[in-house]
Amino acid sequence: MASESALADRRTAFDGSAAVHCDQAIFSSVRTPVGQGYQVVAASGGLTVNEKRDITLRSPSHGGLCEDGQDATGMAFYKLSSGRVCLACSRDAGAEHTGRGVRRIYTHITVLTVEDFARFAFSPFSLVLAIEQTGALEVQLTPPRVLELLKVRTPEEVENGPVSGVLGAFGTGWIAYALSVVLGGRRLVIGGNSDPFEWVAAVMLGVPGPLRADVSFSAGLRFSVGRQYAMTVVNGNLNPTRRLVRGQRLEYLEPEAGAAAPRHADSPWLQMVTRRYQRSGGDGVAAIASRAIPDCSPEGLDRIGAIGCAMDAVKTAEERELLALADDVLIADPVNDFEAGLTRELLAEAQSRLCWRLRTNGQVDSCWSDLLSLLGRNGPSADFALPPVGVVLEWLGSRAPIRAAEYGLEAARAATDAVIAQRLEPHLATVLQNLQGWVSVASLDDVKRVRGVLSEWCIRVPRLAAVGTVLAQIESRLGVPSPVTGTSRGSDAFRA
Amino acid sequence: MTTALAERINHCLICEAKNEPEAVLCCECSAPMALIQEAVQQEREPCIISIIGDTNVGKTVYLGFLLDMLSKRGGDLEAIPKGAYSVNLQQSVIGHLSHRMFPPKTPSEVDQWHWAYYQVAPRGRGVGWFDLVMPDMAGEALAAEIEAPKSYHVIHNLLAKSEGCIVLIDAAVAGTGSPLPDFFGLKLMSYIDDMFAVKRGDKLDVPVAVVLCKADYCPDCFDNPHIFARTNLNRTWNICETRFAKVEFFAASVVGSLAYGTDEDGNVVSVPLHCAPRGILEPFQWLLSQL
Repeated sequence: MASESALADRRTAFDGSAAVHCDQAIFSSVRTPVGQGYQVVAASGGLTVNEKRDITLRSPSHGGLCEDGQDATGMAFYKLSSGRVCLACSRDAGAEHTGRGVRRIYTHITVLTVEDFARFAFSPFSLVLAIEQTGALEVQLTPPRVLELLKVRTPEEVENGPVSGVLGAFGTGWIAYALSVVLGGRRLVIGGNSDPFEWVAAVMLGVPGPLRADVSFSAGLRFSVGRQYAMTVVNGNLNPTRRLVRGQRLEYLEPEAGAAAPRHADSPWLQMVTRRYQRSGGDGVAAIASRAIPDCSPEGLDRIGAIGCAMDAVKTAEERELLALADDVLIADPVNDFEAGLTRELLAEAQSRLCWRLRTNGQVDSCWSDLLSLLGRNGPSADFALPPVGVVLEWLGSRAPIRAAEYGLEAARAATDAVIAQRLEPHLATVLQNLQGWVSVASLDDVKRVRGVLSEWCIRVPRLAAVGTVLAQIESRLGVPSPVTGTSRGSDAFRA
Repeated sequence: MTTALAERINHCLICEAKNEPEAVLCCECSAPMALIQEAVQQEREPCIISIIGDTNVGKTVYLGFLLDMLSKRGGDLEAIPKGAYSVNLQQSVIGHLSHRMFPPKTPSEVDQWHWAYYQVAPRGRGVGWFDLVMPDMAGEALAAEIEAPKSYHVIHNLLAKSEGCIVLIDAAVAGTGSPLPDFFGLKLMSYIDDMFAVKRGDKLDVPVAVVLCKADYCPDCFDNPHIFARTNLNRTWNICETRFAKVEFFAASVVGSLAYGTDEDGNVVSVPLHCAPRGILEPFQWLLSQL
């Protein structure tokens, strides 16, 4: 296999955008000076003998496509023994030269490293699209014996593959079941009359990106016991497949639209994929699954699935649920940077939604104590709690200034950390600003109540000069000496 | 042996991998599980004869005709197919040729191959029955296996278990001076030689019948297959002489006359106008005599 430096050299600029230089081969039935029949007709120089052997074993010969006719196509994706991945696109290429009444199958094979595959967001369909744009999939029955490296442009937008048809017809149950089989390491064969490429796309999208290189599949190619793909999707006449899969160590599935899918062991990852398919289709699933997940162990996927589920739950959660979700995440320590990033995304979304709900619904009482508890816990928790606390104080400040003053005091008490306390001050200042207008119109009883609260503010937030201003207003309204501006005790005394 | 066979009912006859009872094909090598089931039923180990050769040499037609002639008691041999699957190949070959078409090419996928399990015995000589297993392999698969041994486990295991081989070589092409059949023959014999590796200097004991196919194109091949092989397939002849103790050359042909046409893509299509099988049984009879 090519060395790392050589691979780095292959990633060159290509018409202004990055491109990957891949090895390529053509497998078909032609007559060559050294023989005839199905063989690797042409290949680029980087393909090793062993890689060519792997390709020969996996490539279809005549009758290998599920459908007949000139438009029949098939696709296969697998890892070679060298560790590189291989994407094979097969199509009908007319009658075979032998004149024996069979159709010729033409297969173009692209071979690239797993690292290069990652540059297509681990999406075989993105890769196919990029290869198609190069024109390499056009049939060449008399190609040069040695092909050039294929320059494949990395996509600006990722193509996740067509999933809407399968999703619409079968719902998420069958996809989740198929995914559970594949993630469980069992071989899967899906038969039916739906588009095989859609099935492959739908299941592959639920496979974590870095694992996809190890999930071999074929779509539109007839099932063959020897090829041992992790997933085979066939259509057309299913009888040969039904016969061949008998007694094989694999799971055979014929999904039925409208029927319930078989039960499967659930996991947070599967829950996440299912929910995302239901809510936002393939793009939603790809948003997490197609990333470079560093820990794809079952435990790692469970953790990411749980975060993903929480991210989805955030979209519909109420205040207390949002705080509970955030609390769960804030308690746990992220295992790696990737999970830390997801956690940050989750918290940002939860925080944003919480602020929005508090601002629009004003259900502040139900979650106030939870907010205070987060505010006083530690830096990350306080980071999360501060904006919603600010929203609460702002919301109350214009509607219930006494409660705003009381809540502000509680917030100041909770914020024991000096930095957090300092960051809280602008929110408290907003409360005071509202109080300034309110004092002149409020009842005397209310003003007296606020006076008591603000007296403690002087102790808790001595740096806020506006406290003194408001207290002076109150003093003026009540006609009594202020603890701040009175002759016996000034604000400095409180500060002391 | 009977007990041992009965215990192997779920083990592939070719690669011996354990399979599920309901498996139709071996999960490892894709050979039909019906083979071992027949063997257990017969209570004896079958004798495997491999028919090998390059793509388009005529393996399917040769094997189909051979089986058909055996089932018609040709050459004083009696043969009984075991299982309907054993008849499929000869039915396909005879059916197609009777419609003036060659049978479809055998796909490279092992699960698409035809296998025949026959019981054969010389008539009225009091000699016991042979259980013969004969697969119709794809030439491309064989070529790939020869290029990279053990790629196709089924071919490797099959040849390793074979008690005799019929090697088909295209005499029509060789007769035109093309070196390709000779090189393929050389590769095949070298592959077999490697597989049954014996001490240097010793010769292989496996009987090999080299059948020069499509000999109707070159009548001199029928006159003397030895001279034809030594002249046109010199490399193959030499390795056979040096490395194989039991080897014989035969000429054979099936089609009496051909017509040519073109298909919609401009490919030349040969049309078998009638069948005149010649030299089909002789290699097989010779092989049986050597077992």
